[in-house]
Amino acid sequence: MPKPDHPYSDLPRSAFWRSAVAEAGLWGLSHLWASKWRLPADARFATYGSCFAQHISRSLVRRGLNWIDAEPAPFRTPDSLAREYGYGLFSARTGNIYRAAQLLAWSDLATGAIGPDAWDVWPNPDGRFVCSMRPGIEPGGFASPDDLVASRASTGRAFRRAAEQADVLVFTLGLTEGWEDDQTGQCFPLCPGTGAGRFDPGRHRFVNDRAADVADGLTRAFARLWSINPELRILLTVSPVPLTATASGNHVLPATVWSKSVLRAAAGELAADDPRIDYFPSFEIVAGLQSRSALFEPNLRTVAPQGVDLVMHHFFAGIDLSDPARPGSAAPDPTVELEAAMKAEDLVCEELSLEGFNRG
Amino acid sequence: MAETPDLLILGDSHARALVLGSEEAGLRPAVFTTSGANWHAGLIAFHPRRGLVGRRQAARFVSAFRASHGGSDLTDGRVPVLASFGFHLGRLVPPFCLNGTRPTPEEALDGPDLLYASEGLVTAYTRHYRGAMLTMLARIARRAPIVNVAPPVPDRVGYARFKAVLLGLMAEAGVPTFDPQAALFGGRVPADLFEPDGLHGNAEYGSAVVAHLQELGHLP
Repeated sequence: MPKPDHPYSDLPRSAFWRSAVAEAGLWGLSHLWASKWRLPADARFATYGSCFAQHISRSLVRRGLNWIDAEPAPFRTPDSLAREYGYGLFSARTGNIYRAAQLLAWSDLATGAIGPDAWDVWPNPDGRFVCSMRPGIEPGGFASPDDLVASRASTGRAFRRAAEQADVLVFTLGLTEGWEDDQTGQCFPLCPGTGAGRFDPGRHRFVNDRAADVADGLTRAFARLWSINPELRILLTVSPVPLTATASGNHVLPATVWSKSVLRAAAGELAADDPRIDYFPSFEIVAGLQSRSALFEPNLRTVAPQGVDLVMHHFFAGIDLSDPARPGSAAPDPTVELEAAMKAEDLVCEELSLEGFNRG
Repeated sequence: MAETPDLLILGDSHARALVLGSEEAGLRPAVFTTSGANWHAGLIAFHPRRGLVGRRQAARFVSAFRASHGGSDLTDGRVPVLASFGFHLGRLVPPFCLNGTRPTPEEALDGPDLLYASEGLVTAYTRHYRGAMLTMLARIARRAPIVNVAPPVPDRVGYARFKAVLLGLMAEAGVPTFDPQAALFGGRVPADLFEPDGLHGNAEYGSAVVAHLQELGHLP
């Protein structure tokens, strides 16, 4: 057989735009991603990130994979109430984590590098309080600063537990733009004053991460996570959802492309350099040229359900769960014991009530 | 026509102490009690015009009660109502705490794996499971002089918090309440005032409650 005369001679079809993208089309893309890792069949996944990350957790659950919910809603909480209070969206009740700096902040809390009272507590005019790191997590706000800080500490413990238990942490990067407190260094998921808190121009500073900032934030966050679980693998992805608005002074279109490009570059470089880190192309599937924006809703921002499905199709096509599941006995169902205890107590109550029933 | 009783006692197993206490005080109560599980399951309801309504197997209980009182459920204001329902903490708190959730910061700090649920969530959860009973109590309160007596709670995780939330929700709904554990016993009911099960107040406990409510003018 003649030797190839240049490096492109025997590349697969997936290496060529015409065959892999232009002719394959949106629905014909294949071999888009193959995970670096062979995982056990019962691999446990933790998920955090921007709002797009919620689709990943939901899909993992739907597929019957082990998604870690380290901060579940109390048993028998109605689904609508749980969702309203931000349960079941991410592996802990962190709310959306858009930037690398935010992931680092949560990792700091989980490892005790900072305490739960380190972040601002925003008072509302109605006497309630808003968590500056999770402004939307508590409908109507918290009853008191103590209530808020206890909840934040609980989420920090859950974040740590998820990192301890997970085989893979999936983190969806959303933004490079954000706001920070010049005095304390705290980053905010929302600009203070937009919905909660009060904007102080002398204190609140706009930041727009460079690729090096993103890489540095993620590297430090991962170091914290690996101090909790040295075996943890990190799967990065970039949300295809464009910016709602930019404070960069640029038009929002180039600002979006900047933001996504920076995130994509930083994530790609980290994944290229470390076998414990991988990159999955959510952004490319939804926002790539082949989609012709067909995977967005008419507002060109919200990812349409078929876009989410396509992303998850490629995710599951590329994940390798071929290692055997780990041995272990199934934990007993605690609800059985609970029902038995409640029934026993009901019997006592029933006897006492029947004795007095219908007298008079 | 049945003789009009001195009061109506309406509630779950905790009402038994109130019955015994009333009788000890020489009062003649009419009694409608059924287990907390039946209240929790919504088998007893209250219609704004028709009054007490029993659902499924509880229907005959309500019918029998009405029959023995000339067709009345006695919630029309002619007698005071001494109630003890709407709490049923044994059906509320253990499920809430099952997966390690705790309703107070102090309780959540008891172990590294415990979770804290905010006051807002505890209130919303309670309202979800007790909303119908709060409405029922409020409707009765609009028709008859009522005092809803809170049960003594055992020293178990979450019980005191949920009782406090329920008392708050009842006050918000315009339902007069009385908590003997706080008002008479400084937060801890002496062991000798409990039934052997350690959960329900006994006759002596009931007498203390009734005597206090008589002093306050809530009972004849």
